Amino acid sequence: MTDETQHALPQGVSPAQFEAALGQLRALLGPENVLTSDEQLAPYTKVMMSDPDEKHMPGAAVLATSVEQVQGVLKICNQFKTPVWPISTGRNFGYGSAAPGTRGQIVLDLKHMNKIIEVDPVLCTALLEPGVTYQQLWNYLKENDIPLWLSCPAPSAIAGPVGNTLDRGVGYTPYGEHFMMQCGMEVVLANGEVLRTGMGGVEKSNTWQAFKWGYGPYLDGIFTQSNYGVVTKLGIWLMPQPPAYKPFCIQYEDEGDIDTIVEMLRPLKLNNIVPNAAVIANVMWEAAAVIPRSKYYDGTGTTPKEVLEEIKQKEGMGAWNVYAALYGTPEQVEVNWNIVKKAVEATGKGKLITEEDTGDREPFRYRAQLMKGDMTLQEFGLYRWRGGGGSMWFAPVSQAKGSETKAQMELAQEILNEYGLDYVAEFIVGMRDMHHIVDVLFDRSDPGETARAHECFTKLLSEFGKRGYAVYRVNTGFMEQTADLYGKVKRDVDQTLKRALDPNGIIAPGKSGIFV
Amino acid sequence: MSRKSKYSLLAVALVALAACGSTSDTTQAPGKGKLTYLGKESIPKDKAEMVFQQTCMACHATGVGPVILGRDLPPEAIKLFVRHGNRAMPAFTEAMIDNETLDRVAEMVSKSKAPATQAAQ
Ligand SMILES: Cc1cc2nc3c(=O)[nH]c(=O)nc-3n(C[C@H](O)[C@H](O)[C@H](O)COP(=O)(O)OP(=O)(O)OC[C@H]3O[C@@H](n4cnc5c(N)ncnc54)[C@H](O)[C@@H]3O)c2cc1C
Ligand code: HEC
Repeated sequence: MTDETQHALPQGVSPAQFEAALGQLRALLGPENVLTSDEQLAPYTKVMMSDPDEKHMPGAAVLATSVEQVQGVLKICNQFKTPVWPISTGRNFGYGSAAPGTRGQIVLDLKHMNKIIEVDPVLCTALLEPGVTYQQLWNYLKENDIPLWLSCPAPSAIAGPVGNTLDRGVGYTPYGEHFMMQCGMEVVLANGEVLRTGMGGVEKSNTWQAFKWGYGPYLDGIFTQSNYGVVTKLGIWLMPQPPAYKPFCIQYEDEGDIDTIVEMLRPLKLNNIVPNAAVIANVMWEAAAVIPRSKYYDGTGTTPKEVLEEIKQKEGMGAWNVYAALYGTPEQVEVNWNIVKKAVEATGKGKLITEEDTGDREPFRYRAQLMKGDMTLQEFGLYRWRGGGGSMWFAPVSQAKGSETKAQMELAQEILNEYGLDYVAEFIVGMRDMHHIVDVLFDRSDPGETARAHECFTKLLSEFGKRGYAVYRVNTGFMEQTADLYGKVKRDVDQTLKRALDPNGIIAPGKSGIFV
Repeated sequence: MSRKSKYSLLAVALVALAACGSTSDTTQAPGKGKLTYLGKESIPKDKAEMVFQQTCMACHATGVGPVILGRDLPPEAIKLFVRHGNRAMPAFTEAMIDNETLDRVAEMVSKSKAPATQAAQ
């Protein structure tokens, strides 16, 4: 099975050099923790984006179990100039999954570093190793009767807080902006030194997970969406379980209502009436969670408008479906519920739906689970909408203004439809911004459709870019193009930091468009 | 890295599965009233049982993935799907689900009886 001569090699690394590095890695980690056979690497090569697999083929994968081993790995990589691509739980679906940004990099898989080092039920904080999954943490809290809630992304159970937070991912509770709720990290630098950020550098400090900023320049940010170090511990804040929780949905009939919805929601969010990262999901996103598109349409191109109308009628869905929740004491929830009801009434349209109306019915159920940080994989239904396992998130940031979200919606629709693809979209409500999330779905087993999806994504980035809109995160196939949108000076500074912290460029070359 | 071998293996697995009954989707019956959330009692003690319940069934008992229970699926084919993923199914590394646990999960799936909802269809 193992064919040592056939490794995907990183640029500029000879087979002999690569083999020598693998030899040293085997000595350090044990041969069972250096994966090179096709069979072992297969799960690291499964990507969903339009780039060919070959471009992101790992040369090997190595499993480290301690900080010392991570230091050892980086030392060997420096010696042989072989780059590594660190992953925590490796579930970056639609952004590159577990595969490296460029061909031949060795995946540094930290899944086995999975200790829940500490959960402080008083300060409501946790200190975690990278391999901890949300499910593992959820189980731990339940088993120990600790009344704290997680905030997780939709792949919850199988993804993890460290990887998600390092990629600045989002969840759906009041703690949904994950990097905002992160506090303190431990980073192994390319030279082998171990940095603790924030209060973590102070000897005997007990405030590492309590105070984010520490002293002097705040460094945590430069270790997110970057390639300046390998994070081996991360602190996060957890939300105390509120005495009352009230999830609800508001359906709006027309696509154009997005303007009204955003104008209604912004004050509720800014004033903390609706404290969570609420979502505004369009009809296709909503439908995908429960049915395949083929139930109503068996064509291959863009889903026609009449079909969407039919789905809205028969499945009881809105053109836009707002999911939000109230948290607090029963009294607080009641007061806030009245405020929400009045705000919806004032729009002159919109249908309010509560738990009492739907019970355990999907998609309400999974939304209610996500907004309290429970585990659910229901949203993977998105992949049976068109089938074929192709997915790239197009995630431009928008101002939280109705006119802006409407303009972005129209532009995205126009471009997607030009390529026969669907506008499967949601807006995740931030304080002053919206993460406009479009799942560019395509049949990856169809080369023609894959090529169209690639062109479409390129155009989405460039046309949005021309109007001053850029994505907050992107898959590994489009990191350069995205970095360009943020300007030359930003790229130069990113590179200056890279050269200072990792002069041999051995950590994740290409991440966010950064090379040494 | 040979992709050919990957796809031919999956092709064999797919043919094997095609012989094992239909892949209907399970849309659940609408309910009114209260939402039920999972608690401590939902957490299995056994490792393979945990993977089966908290990972596989989170997709395969909810209509996200096809029904895989009660179809006499061959364990080898099940393992290929888990390791390679296929189309809409994500792949799972050894670091995520070790070989021994996967052997047991594949056994459990292979020998399972059809769930009640499936029988009713
Ligand atoms: C149906 C569906 C819904 C989704 N919904 C959401 C959502 O709601 N919110 C959301 O944010 N995402 C979402 N995603 C995208 C993605 O699956 C999640 O963000 C997921 O949490 C990322 O995978 P992970 O947690 O395993 O992180 P990883 O894959 O481990 O890490 C992500 C990236 O961070 C970097 N990194 C990881 N660990 C380290 C480390 N230790 N040191 C240095 N760098 C590191 C690497 O570049 C890595 O590629 C969704 C995907 C799907 C398929
Ligand atoms: C995130 C959701 C998800 C999880 C978790 C998941 N699967 Fe799947 N699985 C799918 C989907 C979707 C398909 C159908 C893939 C396609 O054809 O596009 C599938 C297909 C399969 C098939 C092939 C069935 C057929 O008839 O073609 C098997 C076998 C399988 N999965 C087993 C498992 C096992 C065992 C686990 C647990 C270790 C698991 N799956 C976990 C989503 C999932």
